[in-house]
Amino acid sequence: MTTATVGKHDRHRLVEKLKTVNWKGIAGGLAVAAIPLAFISIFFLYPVGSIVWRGLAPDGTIDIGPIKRVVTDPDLRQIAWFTLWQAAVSTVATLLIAMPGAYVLSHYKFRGRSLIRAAVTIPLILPTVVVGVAFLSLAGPGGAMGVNLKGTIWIILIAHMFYNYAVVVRTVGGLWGHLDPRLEEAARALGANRFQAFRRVTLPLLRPAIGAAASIVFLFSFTSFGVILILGGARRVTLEVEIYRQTAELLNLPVAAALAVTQLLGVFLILTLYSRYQNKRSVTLNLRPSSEVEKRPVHLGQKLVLAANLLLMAGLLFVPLAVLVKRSLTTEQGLGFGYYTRLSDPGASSVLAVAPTEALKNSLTFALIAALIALFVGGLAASIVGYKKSRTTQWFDALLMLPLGTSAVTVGFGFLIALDSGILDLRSKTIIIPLAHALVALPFVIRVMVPIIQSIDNNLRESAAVLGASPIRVWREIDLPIVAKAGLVGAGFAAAVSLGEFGATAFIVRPNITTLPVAIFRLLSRPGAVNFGMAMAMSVVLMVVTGLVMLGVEHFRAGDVGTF
Amino acid sequence: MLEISGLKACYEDVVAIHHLDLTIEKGEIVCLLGPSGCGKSTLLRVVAGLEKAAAGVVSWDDEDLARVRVHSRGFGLMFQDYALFPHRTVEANIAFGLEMHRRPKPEIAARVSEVMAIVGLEGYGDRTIGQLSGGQQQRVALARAIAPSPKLLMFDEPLGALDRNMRERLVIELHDILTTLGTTALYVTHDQEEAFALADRVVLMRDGRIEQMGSPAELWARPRTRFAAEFLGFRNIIDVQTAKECGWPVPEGETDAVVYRPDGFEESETGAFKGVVVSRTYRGDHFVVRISPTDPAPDLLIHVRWQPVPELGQELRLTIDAESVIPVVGNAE
Amino acid sequence: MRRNLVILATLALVAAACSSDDNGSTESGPDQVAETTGDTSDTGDSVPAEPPESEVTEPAASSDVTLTLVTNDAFSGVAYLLDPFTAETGIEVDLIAGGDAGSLVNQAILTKDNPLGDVIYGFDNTFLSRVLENDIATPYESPASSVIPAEIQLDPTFTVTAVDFGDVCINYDKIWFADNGLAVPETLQDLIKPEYDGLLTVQNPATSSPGMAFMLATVSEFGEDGWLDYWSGLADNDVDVVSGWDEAYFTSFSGAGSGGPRPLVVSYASSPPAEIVFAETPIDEVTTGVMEASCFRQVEYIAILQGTEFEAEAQSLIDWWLSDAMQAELPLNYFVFPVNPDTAIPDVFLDNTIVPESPHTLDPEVIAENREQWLDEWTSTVLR
Repeated sequence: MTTATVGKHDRHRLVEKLKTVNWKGIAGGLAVAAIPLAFISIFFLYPVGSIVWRGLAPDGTIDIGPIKRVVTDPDLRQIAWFTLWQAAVSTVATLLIAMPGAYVLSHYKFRGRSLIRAAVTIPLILPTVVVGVAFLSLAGPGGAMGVNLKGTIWIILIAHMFYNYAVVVRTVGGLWGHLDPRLEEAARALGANRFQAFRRVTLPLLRPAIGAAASIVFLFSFTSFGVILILGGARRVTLEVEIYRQTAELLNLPVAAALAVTQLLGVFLILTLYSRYQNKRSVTLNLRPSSEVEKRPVHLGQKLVLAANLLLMAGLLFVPLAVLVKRSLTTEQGLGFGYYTRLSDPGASSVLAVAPTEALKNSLTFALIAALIALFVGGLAASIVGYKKSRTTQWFDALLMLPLGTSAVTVGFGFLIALDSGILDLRSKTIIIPLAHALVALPFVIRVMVPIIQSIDNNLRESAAVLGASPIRVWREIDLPIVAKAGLVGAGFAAAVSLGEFGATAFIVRPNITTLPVAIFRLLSRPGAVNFGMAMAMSVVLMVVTGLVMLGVEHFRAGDVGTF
Repeated sequence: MLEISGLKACYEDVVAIHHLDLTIEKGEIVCLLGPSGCGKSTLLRVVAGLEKAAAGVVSWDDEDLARVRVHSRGFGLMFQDYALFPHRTVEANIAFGLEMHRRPKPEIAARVSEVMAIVGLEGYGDRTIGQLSGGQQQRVALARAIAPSPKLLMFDEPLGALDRNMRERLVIELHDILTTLGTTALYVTHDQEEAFALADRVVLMRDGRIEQMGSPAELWARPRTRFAAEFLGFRNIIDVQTAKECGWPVPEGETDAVVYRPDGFEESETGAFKGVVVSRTYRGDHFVVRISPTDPAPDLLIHVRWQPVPELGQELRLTIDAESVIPVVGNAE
Repeated sequence: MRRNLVILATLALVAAACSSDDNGSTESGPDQVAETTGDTSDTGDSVPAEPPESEVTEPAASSDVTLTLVTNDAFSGVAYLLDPFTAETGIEVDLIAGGDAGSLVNQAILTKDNPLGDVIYGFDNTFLSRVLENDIATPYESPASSVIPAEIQLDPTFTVTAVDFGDVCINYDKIWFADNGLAVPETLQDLIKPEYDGLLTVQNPATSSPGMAFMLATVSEFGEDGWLDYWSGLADNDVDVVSGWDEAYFTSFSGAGSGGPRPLVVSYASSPPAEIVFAETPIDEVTTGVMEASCFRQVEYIAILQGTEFEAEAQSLIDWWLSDAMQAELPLNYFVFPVNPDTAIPDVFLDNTIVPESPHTLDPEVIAENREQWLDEWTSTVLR
């Protein structure tokens, strides 16, 4: 009897509880989440799952042998350890060196700032082969600087800083440039010295942006491939390099799969730590228009800080780029535009197969499509992640970051065996190229947009809803205008990722379409002064195009809150 | 004692303060009043040490502050939207200054609850900043500023973001707290009512210079310049030339314009002021009547406390008592 | 418009082929390259099948088939070489690029049940056994294959067909050796002598195909018992190991444009003629030479992938690849030797390369059996 009543009571309570659940909200959330979920499932989970499963369970049952081998083999453990620590050190070093840059570029008004802000992004897109040429001619054997850093951890760190400087400057500077300067002043007036004010007030408030930047830099360094191969010398091996060797060269899928699982676990561990760190305390910030934050450097101290940072950028970023420019202009007759003239003369080299303008057009088309896909999928995902903080959205967030932290070869070979039938048979379809780019660009878009979405005052949404706006309408009227510009910056990153074709995209089997990076690879795969010179010239073209894309983004970066 | 002498300061290459002298006695509450861009906030930031002076000396008890950094000055500062630390609780915000001064923990805890009691925030210690209303945030900011017992407490438009009712209530509370604590205070505002309600002395600023300075009563009784009169809300400011042409009373001495206080008028057959009533508005204990003089002068506003109240269209002839005629210098902008 | 371009391209190719047959002078190489590239830029991005250009040449082909050729990165740069085939037969060829030779084969094996394409081209003898063992290709003995020397074909079943070959050899910087008054090393043994300390750059065999070839050359020279000792010697002589050919050649090697520090590098026997073809200003004599004793023979193969719907068309592609028209184009466009010994080779190519009399070779089966183990041993000896 009693039990029956209790049961009835419980059922009643359950019904009541179910009534209070916001079913409409959940349904709406799921509907918005469906597209990014489908995207990540089809273009990441399914392919990577397929190749890993094929490796671990060639006969349908899991063989733990290779996993055991990976865990016990001292060489492989050594590789995993090196991968982890070099990525951690790279992340810390990049943050340390780029934080002052982020401050200077977001707080000081000076002539040529937009140009510099655009220019620091250029390294991000340069193929590692080309960067390798620049770095080795500076600090390689017989390099111009007189020290041979090749094979040392130093040159790896410097290269990772070179590549990731912009990530920190953009992500952290974006928030920093809108942080109320009076917070730090209040702390100063309360007796905090500069360092205390920074450590106790500014740093905690920058936490979301620092976390976001750190996670991207870490993943980038964790899966570093070209930098390690070319600059690290043959003795330095990361998981990424080993997975490549086991998969592409030895076809040792079981070991490759076990390594890939190790890599994924490592990445997931880091992402979980990251989301814990982010979640410790979330604060709504009163973001200020950048006009309230920026000032012209007037005092000697400020000018020195600015000068020191510009000098650092010049040394770290622009000297290697200048080396490439100089190489592209150095002909046998002295300095000149000979290689550029050859680029515009379609008959100059047989290696390109197509006119350079065609390669440029292809690159730009792919960049545009990739940016649109990344923006659409990433925008939806960011609204979910940024709108509500819960365990589910955190998992979702971590999931969407994974492509950046997964071996390019694993993804590439996964595409090969998974996307092979029906409408998903994309192996010979052109669309596979921008799709792969979008997959890698997704984390950039999300990381740029989420902090902005989180900064939107919920009162705005609620008042819009009270005024009779449906959820979709609320999003369109309130969220969209505010996030649109952040989205644009995200799209800029996506376009840069696509133009540089880094990460997973390099190993994806694809139709023979010549893009700028492909053309550069081809030129560098042939002997001859002309090929080398033209490769350098083409790299400069790629640099200039990226610079222009980023300048375009700068142009839209008006001074109000909600822009990066 | 805060002494400012010959101070010049710039804000982004524009001179914001020209050669300014000002002394603030211990325990005095001084309000810097003026329109935006008059240099009052820059002055405050220089005193706080957030901006550098281009020339001149700022000293406290004869110690030149030029080489004393912001955090070592021992001053308190409260901003317009409070600049509360969003990542800290109410308690942790208030404790911040004490922590910076390396006070022992028990002392911090005691002082925090003491200060919270002063500002009426008991029981709010664990709240996060986002959970507070505007008025509560203002109290936290005040508590945070007074907790380390600053030698000088500075306010930069601290009530600017609140609505009128709240502002009026808080001004009174603030005044009580400041007088009780006996703190020396420098208060920046553009609202003359706020300044008059709080200050022992009001410093009216214009274009980086002190326009006029004095107790609220002095300023109210005798604005010296046309700008001061206009900014303090005086009406009926008439060019001397026009007044003379109309035959209105003009005091002796050098003056550029004359202020006729609206409540100094009374009806008189022989009055110098003639005009037709064009509007009248009821204001509780009096009527505000606008008359349009027949002479080539602008309309005048008159506070009418007598009966019968003039009708619309009625012709009036008025006189004014001598105390309500104030000469001011300076021309209209 | 498009059609006209194709006609032009065809004419240009024919003209070019004739001119190189006729005189093969130094200048003809670059010119020919220029014409072909320029006129084919319109079709270079592998536009999917359009109506066959049947009117273009006779005999007109009736087929509207599009073959998919799975190939390596290197060949996709000279995809225009296939244009005459399309013109002749009406069969379009789409390219899918799959990385280097190793990736290419591994990808083909992984997609065996659902092949990527119809024909695979671009793997070499070091991967031959892997292709044969995994049963991914359908045998086809082309009528034209009779010309292929047996020591090059290697696969008597004609599951795969050899179409070109080249030699991976150490290149040296003539000027450096002249300036430093040092004799050019003649044997592999010379390289571990003290006077050659710090002069050689090789590629990591784990990540580079010429690096693998050179490692195999040392196995062939010193035998399975002696080759690791040799590498210890090289390591003691400060051999520089880099990840890929481009880095070795352009950054490390002193003889190519960029002026690196080392005068000896593992490259190809065909690199010197390429230096001439791709010289910035026309040069008569190349400043790099080839060290004959270091050469390892690489043969490149083509094969029909199992499961193709278009076996006949795939066969005609192989026939065409062996034809004189294609074989004659290979030296100056792809920098390899044609397998047909009768094909005329331009002088500029022949004069500046060498054809080693007895290059190093290894049985593909032996390579397949030992590949991973040798790599591990090499890594432990040289890198650790």
